[in-house]
Amino acid sequence: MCLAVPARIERLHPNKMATVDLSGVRRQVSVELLDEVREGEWVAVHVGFAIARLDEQEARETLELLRQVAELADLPPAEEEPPPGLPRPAGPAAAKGASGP
Amino acid sequence: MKFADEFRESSLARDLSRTLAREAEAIGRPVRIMEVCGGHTHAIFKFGLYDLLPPSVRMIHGPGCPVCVTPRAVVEMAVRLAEQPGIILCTFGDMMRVPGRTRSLAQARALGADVRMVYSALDALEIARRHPDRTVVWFAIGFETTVPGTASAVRRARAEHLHNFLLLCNQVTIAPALRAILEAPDVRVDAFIGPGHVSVIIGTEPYRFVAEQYRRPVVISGFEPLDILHSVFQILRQIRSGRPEVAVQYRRAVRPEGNRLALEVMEEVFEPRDQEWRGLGVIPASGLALRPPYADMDALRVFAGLLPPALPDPRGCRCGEVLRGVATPPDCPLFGTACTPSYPMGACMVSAEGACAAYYRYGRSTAAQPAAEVGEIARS
Amino acid sequence: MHGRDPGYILVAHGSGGKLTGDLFRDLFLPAFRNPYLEQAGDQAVVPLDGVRLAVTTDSFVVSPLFFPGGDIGRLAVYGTVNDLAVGGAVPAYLTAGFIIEEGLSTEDLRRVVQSMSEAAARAGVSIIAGDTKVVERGKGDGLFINTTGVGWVPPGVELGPARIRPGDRLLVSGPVGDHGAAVMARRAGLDFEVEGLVSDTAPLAGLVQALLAAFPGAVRCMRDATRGGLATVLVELATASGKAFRVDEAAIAVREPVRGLCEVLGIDPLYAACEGRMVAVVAADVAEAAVELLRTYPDGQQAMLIGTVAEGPPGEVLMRTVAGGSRRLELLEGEQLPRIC
Repeated sequence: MCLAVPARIERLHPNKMATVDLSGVRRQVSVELLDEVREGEWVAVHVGFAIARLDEQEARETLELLRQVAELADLPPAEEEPPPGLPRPAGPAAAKGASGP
Repeated sequence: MKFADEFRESSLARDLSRTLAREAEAIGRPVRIMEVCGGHTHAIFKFGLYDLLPPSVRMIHGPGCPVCVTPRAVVEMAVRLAEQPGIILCTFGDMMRVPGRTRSLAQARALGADVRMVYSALDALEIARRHPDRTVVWFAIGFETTVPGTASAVRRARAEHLHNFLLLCNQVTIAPALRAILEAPDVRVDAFIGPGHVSVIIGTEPYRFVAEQYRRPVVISGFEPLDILHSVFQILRQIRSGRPEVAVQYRRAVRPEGNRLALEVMEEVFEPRDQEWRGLGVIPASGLALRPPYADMDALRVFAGLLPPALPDPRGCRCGEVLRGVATPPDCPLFGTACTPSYPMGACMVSAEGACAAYYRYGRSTAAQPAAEVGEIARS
Repeated sequence: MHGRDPGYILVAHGSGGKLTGDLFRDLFLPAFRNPYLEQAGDQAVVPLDGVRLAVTTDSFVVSPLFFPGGDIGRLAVYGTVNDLAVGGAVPAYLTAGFIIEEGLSTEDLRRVVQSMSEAAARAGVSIIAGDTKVVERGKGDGLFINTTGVGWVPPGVELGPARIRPGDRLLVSGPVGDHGAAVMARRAGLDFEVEGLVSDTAPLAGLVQALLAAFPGAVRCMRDATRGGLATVLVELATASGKAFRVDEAAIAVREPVRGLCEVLGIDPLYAACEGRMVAVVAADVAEAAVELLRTYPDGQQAMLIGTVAEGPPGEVLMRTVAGGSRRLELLEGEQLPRIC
C-alpha cells in the first residue's frame, strides 16, 4: 500500500527540504519527519517525504540472518536447534511490549 | 549497501525456499498467511514468489490498498468535485481509473475536468500556491505511511494562509482493520505479514493485540523478495514454537517506537473517526478526520451537497470478499471478463496493488492454483 | 467478452496496449479491411511493378516537445524509419505533416525541424513532401507531427512471426525503458531531475541491415519496442507466431536511473516505452554471433540474449524473475500510472 524507496541525501536545503538521489534520479523531498538528517545518509522516501532513516548495520545483520536461515536447508533435522533464524524480540523498547505474552 | 538489490539474490532465495519447505513440512498442516499490505501483494506477484513458497503456505491478500478500500461514493464525490467549475482536483496516479458511479477521474479528465496526477501532497499544495483564483482539492487517501505527508501539507497551508487548499479525506488506519478481519466470522487467517512502511510510522505496539488477544504471529516485513521469504520463515517458526508475537523482519527501516515526528504531525492535524471501508463496512475509529482547527479545509464540509448516498459495489462484484481474503479474484464472475484493468469495475482491479489486478497482470495461470485452494480453505 | 466501453476515447486508447488493439480490431479494421491491413504489422508491404514497397505512418504527440536525449522531431523521423527497418525494408522517403498550436515559438519549431533534418540524414532518408496546419490555442499540445515512411524490401528478405521456430533465441538490441522513463520524469506534476535519464531515440536501420546481411535466413522476425515496452512486443510476437516464449529477467538490461525512476513510481520498466530498441528472433546457432555483431555498433553496444522460443501455449510469455520465481507477461493494459500509495 505504501511504496517507499531507498534514497541517499545529497544536499540539505532550508525549509526542511533536501535533494535526494533515488538510484540516479534526483528529487526534492521533505525531511521534516526526521530528526537531524545529514548529507550522505540513506532514507526511505514515500510520496515526497523521507519517512525513515535506513540503518546499514541492521541491513547487514538481516542479510547475515538470511544466510543462516538459507543454510538450514541442508542441515539434518537434529542439528538445527537452537534455530539461528528465530525472530528476535522487536527491540529493546518493545521487548516487553510487543513480544508475545 | 543499496538497501534493495542485496535482498533480491536468486541463489539465496532458492535456498530460503528449501528451508521454508522443511519448516512447512514440520508444521504438517496448511498455513494461511495474510499479507496485509498491497505492496507485498504486488511484490509476491512481480517476483513470482508463489513458486518459492511451499504448497501448504497460502497467501491471502489483505485490505492494505488505499485505492481499493475507498468507498465508491467517495470516488464519485471526487469526480463530482473535479467537474465543479474552478476546481483543480489533485490525486495520486492509481486513483485515476477507479470508477465512481458515473465515471472515473480519468474519464472526467477526458471530458474536460481539471484532474492532475501528482507525486506528493506537497505538489498539490504548490499547485494551490500557483493558482490562487482556483480551489485545489487534494484527494487524500492512504494509510499511516501517507498520512503524515498530507498532515504536513495541511499544516503548511495553514501557516501560509492559503485559503484555496481543501482535502477530500479518505485516510485510514491499519490496526482497526486487522481487528475487524480477526473478528469477521468468515475469515480464517493463521498469521500476518505486517505492513513495513506503515510500521515505519506507527512502530510495533499497535499490533500487540493480534499476538496477545488473537494468538496470531505478526512479522513486519520489507518489500524485497528475500524479505518476504524471510518473514514467512519467521512466521512458520512462531507457529512451530506456539509462541505468537510481533516481530520485525524489516529492521533496517522499522523502529519499535515508530517515527515520533510523523506521529506528532498526524496527531496534530487529524483525529479518529468511524470510517466505511469497501468490503469491510464501517469500522469504528479506523478513519481520520481533520481536527476542528482545520475543519474548514474539509471538502466534504465545504461541498456537503455533492456527496452521494452510499453506493453498493456493481452487481456481481466480489471486491469486498476479496478484500477480506475470503474470495480470490478468479472466484468473481466478473474477473477477467466484464472487469479488466482496461475497464475495471471493482476497485481491486484498478490499483496495481489490488489483488485482482495483480492476478490479472502477473499471469493468471501461475496464480490460479494456490488461489483456488485459498478460496476453498477460507470457505471451509 | 470485454469490459464496458465508456463510449468515448481515453488516453489509454493511445497507449499502444490492449485498448489500442481493441480500437484497431473493432473500429478501423472493419471499416478499411484489406489483406495488407489485416496483417496488422508495423508496416505494410505491397507489390508494385516488381518492387516490394513498404509503407508505414505514425503520429507523434509527446509532451514535453524536448526531452533528455531527444525531441519530437527526432522521434518522428526515427519512429517511422524504425517501423520500416524492422520489417526488413530499406527506408527511403518520408513525408511530414505538422499540426501546430497557435502560439508555438518559431524558435522551437525551428529546433524541431533542424533536429528532423539531422535525424533524416543519419537514417539515410529524404523528407520529400509535407503539410502544415495551425490550430487555435488550446486545441493542440504545442506541436503534433505525422510522418509517413516509404521504403523497399530487398529481394530475398523474408521476415515474419510465422517463421519463428521452437529453439530460436530472443535478442534485444539494448537496455529497455529509457524513453518512457525520460518522458515520464518530465511530466508535469512529477518533477524529477533527470540527469542520466536519456531517451534511447535512435535509428535501427543500421543494426537491422547488418543482421540481415550477416545471417540471411537465420533472422526470423524483428519488431521495434515502442509504446507498451519490451513486454508488450514479446507478447505480441509470441501471439503472432503461435509459440511460447521463455524469458530471463536477469538477462534484461535496465539502466540504473531508469530502474530508479520506475521503482519510485512503482511502474514496470518492461512496459516503459523504448524508441530505439528492437527485439529480434534469430536461429539458435547464430544467436551468439548476432549479439557480438550488434555490439560492434554504437546503438547495439549492450545487445543481449534474453530468452528462447519454446513449444507451449501460443502467446504465453513466461519470465523467470530475478528472485527465481516465474511470472507471466501480458499486454500492457491501460496507461501505466504511477503506483504511489
